Formats: sequence, C-alpha cells, structure tokens
Amino acid sequence: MRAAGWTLTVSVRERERWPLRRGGACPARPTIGSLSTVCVLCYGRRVVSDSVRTAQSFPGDWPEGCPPGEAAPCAGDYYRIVRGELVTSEDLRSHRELGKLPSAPPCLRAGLSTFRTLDDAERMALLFPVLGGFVARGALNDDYGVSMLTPGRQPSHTTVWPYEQTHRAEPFRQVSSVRRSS
Amino acid sequence: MSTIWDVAGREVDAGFFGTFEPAEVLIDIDGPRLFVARTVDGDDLLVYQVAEAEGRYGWIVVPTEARSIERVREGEVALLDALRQPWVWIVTQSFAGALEGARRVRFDDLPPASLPADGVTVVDAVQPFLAVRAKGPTLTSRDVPASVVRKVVDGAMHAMKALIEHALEMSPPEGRPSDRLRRYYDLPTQRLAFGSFEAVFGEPVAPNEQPLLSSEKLALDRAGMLLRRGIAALQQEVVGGDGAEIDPELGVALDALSGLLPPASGAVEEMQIGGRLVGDSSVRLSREHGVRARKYMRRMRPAVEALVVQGLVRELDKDAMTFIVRSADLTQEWPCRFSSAQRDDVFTAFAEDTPVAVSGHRRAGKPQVEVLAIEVV
Repeated sequence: MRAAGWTLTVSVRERERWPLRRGGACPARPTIGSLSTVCVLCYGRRVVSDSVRTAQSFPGDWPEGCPPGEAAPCAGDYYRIVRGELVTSEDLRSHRELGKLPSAPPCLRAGLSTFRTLDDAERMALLFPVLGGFVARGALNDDYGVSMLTPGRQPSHTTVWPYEQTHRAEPFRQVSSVRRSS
Repeated sequence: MSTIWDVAGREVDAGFFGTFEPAEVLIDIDGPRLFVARTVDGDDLLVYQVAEAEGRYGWIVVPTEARSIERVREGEVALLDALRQPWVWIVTQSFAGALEGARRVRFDDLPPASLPADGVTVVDAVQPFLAVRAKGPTLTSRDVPASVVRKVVDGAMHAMKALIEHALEMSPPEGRPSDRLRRYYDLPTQRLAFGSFEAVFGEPVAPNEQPLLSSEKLALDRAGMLLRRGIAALQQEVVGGDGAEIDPELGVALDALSGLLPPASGAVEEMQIGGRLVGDSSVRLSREHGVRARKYMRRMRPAVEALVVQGLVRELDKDAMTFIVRSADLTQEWPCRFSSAQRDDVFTAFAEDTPVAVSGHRRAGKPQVEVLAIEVV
C-alpha cells in the first residue's frame, strides 16, 4: 500500500478489511480519521481525506517506487537489535536518515532492518556487537507502516518502512539482553 | 576499556583496498555488515563491521578465498574463526563511503567484546548427524588436551557402535548389512572447533551414494530413539525409577552414553550433545548425570560376564564385523563382534588361521561376545 498525493491504492485484502461506510468514520480504522465521501477504499483508487493522507504517508523525498509494491502492512511481532534496555528513536533511524552509505540500494536505506524470529535477531546480535546487545520485540500493525521479507542469508530478515508520523520506538517495549557464553 | 580505535598497529596504504565496494554482501542489517570486497589486484577480502562512531565505520579486513567464503556463507565455520588470523587490517571508512585509513594490527590485540561470539555461524548449517562438545573452564581455544579430543571422538564412536549393534539385533536387516554400515561407527568428521572442544559428525552415507536401505533407516531410527531414551532417563534423579528391575535396553542406552558423559574429575565439566540423532535441541550432560548413569550401570554389571575363549577364527563376516571362534576340537564355538580398532588383528588371525585368545564380555542372555582384545597364543 502506498499513499501518494490524494490517492491511496490498497490491496484486495485491505479493501476487505475496510468495509463500505458512507460519509462517516471507517470502523476498521478509527484512528485514521473520517473519509471525505464514501469509504472509497472499498472500490479501490479514489479520493481520501487529508487526515488519512497525512497519517499514512511516507516521506516525500523517498525514491520513486519506495516502499516496493510488494510490501504489505505490518502485522505481528518484529524484532530489532538495539543498544539499550530502553528503546529510543535513535535505535530506529534508517541509514538514509543518518546519511550512511549513500551508494547502498536507496529504498533499503530508507527502511529499518528487523527480524521475524527472536533466534535470528539474537544470532545477529551475537555476530555483530556493534549493533547492540539487546533485542526489542515490537507488536506492529498496519498503523506502523509496511514491511517486506528481505531475507538474504537471514531467513526472517524483514525491512520495515514506517509511516512518516509513526512513533517508531513506542511498540518496542519488550527488551531482552543477548548473552554471550564464555 | 580499550576500543577498536585504540588498538595499536602499523599504518598501511588504504589504496590497496581498492574501491572497497562489496562484491558480495553476506550479511545486511541496515546496510552491509559482512561482505566480500576485492583488493586493487582482484584478491578477495572478508570485511566485517567491528565499530561505528563519530561518522565513521571500523572494519576488520582479512584475506580470504572462494572456499573460505563458501564455508562462512553456508555456516560451516564460525565467523570468529574465519576472522581469526595472526594479524588483520582495520580499515576506517566515513559514513559517506570514503576510506580514511588502514592499519595492520595483531588479532589478539582486538577487544574480544567487539568481535563475533565464539562458535556462532552466519546461518545454521544443515543439522549434523551428531555433534559432541566438551566444556570446562580450562578448555580454551589454545589449551585443549589430546585426552579431551580422544574422549569426544571415542565417546561418539562407542555410542554409535553400541546403539547400532543393538538396533540391528532388534531388527536384523534382510540379507547382509552393507559394508557402509561400518561408517555408523566411524562417522565422517565435518568440523572440529576449539575453545571448548567440539566434533561434528555427518551422515553415514554421502549424498552421492546409494540411499539407505529401509532396514538401515529403521536401525538408525531405533538407535536415535534409544539414545533419546537414555538421555530422558538421566534427567530423573534415580535412573529407571526406584524399582530393583533392570531394563536391559536402558542399559544399552546408558552404555552408549557412557563415553559422552563428563568424567567425575578433570578438565571436562559438561558435555553437550546435539544433532539429528539427538533431536531438535542439544542436551547438556553434567557430572551429576554421569553419577546417575554409573550408578545404574553398577546395578547392571552382574548381568555382564567377562570371558576369554581360545580357538581359531573360522568364519568372518567383514560387513557385519562378526566372526566365530571354534575350539581346536571343534566341540565349542563362540560368535564374536569386533570393532574397527580390532579389524587388522581379526583379519590377520582369520587369514593366517592361527590360534587366538579372545577376551571380551557377554551380556546375560546374549550369545555374542563383545571383543575387547584378540591375541595370538
């Protein structure tokens, strides 16, 4: 799903979750705001209210086609390697925001690396102490952003692209320490 | 606390590292963390991110080649072991990608907390058939006594022999067991790891060989079940329960495990066994488990008879690793089972038809003598 200007394209699955409702708030997405005329998402590509556009948009300076069309709304548990027991927004900044490695693939630079299993995250924390000695679990939903499995050699590696207004650290409350055996 | 930036070393020309662009990214977490780069001459380098501070990255760089990269990629070697070389380069790179410097440092001078954890691989390799690790506070990467290496290897061989022999007795294969069954006792070693000591054994049948016969598979499954039964029994405070009844099958399982248990004293305080034979997760066996097993084995001991027989080796089955000793007057005969360590002695006795004394033990109710030694008389 991607917000661009005044249009919002959604998948069939998303449309099914957001039923037709004329002139009022969508019961499935109460936090997003009211719709301008009808819950047009049920019909596919239509005009939506400004509040929807703001809450679920990505930064305008991201590369064209980013996030990729294959990315789906976040759903379920995601694990992120962090540096301390209290997760802050600093733990969830992208390479793009930090100005790192400008020659890396531009859309991946805009996303955040997470894992869908604790085991994968812990293994990477053990391999790369530079990333941090803790793993934070976040239960994310479609308000957070979109994600896509980007496995490489790590089977559950998943890139998350948060919406511009998302409080990124907020869901990552459960943190565990990764212990190195002697 | 020392950091990677403080490690003393000799400055080298960063131009040697070429563009430092990843030729292959092995691990990407918010950008490449482990990758292969090429020198200006086109030689492969393994590059590991070790630090990040004040707008720059610190990379450990070591020379490598295709086979070593493959082993890292497939999880056959721990990342720390792949990086461990007498000396390495530390390359500093700005966040924007420009190389800012390089120096050659001793690996041992690097702060251990900055390095990959010991024994951790990039991915889980295909689960080995059997993995045995001896652990103890004095077992470090540079101080593994030969006796510990022998204990691990002998323990694994003894376990496989005891388990497979019992499993084959329970369900004899149709026809003769194939020659490759011998590999059950002498599994191919896939990897040895130091810093604690670990031996990892692969499948008894290589991928390009004829697959296991159904009877062989059954024997292998039974062997695994028996091993797991023994492990489960050791988790109880009193092995086999309080009853006086001795369970011969449990005895076989504990006999198989006997070489995989930590001794009452010495460098090895804990043994870990894992792999497909053991089940989904590895098992830790402590000295307490060893005490429990030995206690049960002592209760069993009267059921085992030590004996010495004399005669000629008249029949030999190389595949089943059994032979028959007949007395000189042909009035008596003893079926015997031998191990690969006794193979040469048995073959010689058979070929030369010389009288021999075979010493071994025989379990109650079993006709076969388990050979401990064979000597010409």
